[in-house]
Amino acid sequence: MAPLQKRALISLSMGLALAIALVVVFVTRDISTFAADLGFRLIVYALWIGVPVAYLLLINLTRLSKLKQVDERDRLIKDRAPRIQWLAVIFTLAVWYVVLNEAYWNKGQIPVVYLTLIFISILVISALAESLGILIGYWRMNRNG
Amino acid sequence: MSPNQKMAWGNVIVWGTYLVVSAIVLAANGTIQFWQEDSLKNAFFTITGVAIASFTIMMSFVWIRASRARVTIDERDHKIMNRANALAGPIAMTALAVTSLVLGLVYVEDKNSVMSSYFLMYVTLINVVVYWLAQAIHTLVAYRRN
Repeated sequence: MAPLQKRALISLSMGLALAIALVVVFVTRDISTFAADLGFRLIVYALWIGVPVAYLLLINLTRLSKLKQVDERDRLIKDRAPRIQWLAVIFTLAVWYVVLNEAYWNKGQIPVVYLTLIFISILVISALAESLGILIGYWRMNRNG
Repeated sequence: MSPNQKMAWGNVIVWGTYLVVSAIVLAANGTIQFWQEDSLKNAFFTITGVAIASFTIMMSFVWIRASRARVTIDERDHKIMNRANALAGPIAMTALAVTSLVLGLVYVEDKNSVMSSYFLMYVTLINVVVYWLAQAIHTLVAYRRN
């Protein structure tokens, strides 16, 4: 497995773990309590900051930080991944727009607490999409030769 | 001139003009929250509509001409477009983060507990426009260098 592919796999696994943890936290505790409950906010912030820090530590403390064996194929895959990342962000924003508009149609305005949630979700989706883009790139190259 | 360059020039003209005109209109009204006044909202939607229509016409025109002329895209074109997309993504993401941050600060300063549903439309639009513009500028620079 190429070093870039290995890094993408670790990033995807940790990103998925973070996404699942955030979903579980928000399902078990209602979003409306986010602004009022300090404990709830601290759990979310700890997850949001802690997981990327853990990822950076893992990458920098292991051999994965040295991407010396990067060839033309790796560069091509790495260059294509941001497009998938950008499309994922656009679709995430579109989904938020539709869901929040429909949920608060009668009120006409959306609680400002969703700003934090939107921001967190975009960062998580963006990291997941980049890793997924790299892994799909390797998968396609191995398949098509 | 290759179809990629033509599209890039079209993007720079359409979306560059769009950003400049929008900035002037918003600055003249003293707010970035275009949805607060009906006249400003209508002006913003008109500018956006004209930009989208111009973009669609331009893209169709270039695409039809390229199909008729049977223009082939080589390895260099692919490489330039891949690099342009790779560069435009992070720039658009930064623009998205900055727009969200500025609008978020406006809400915090105003001590609002609710935000307009236009907020998300606004940040999405900024993200898309900055992406196309960054991609187009990089494409033009790359073709000139090569």
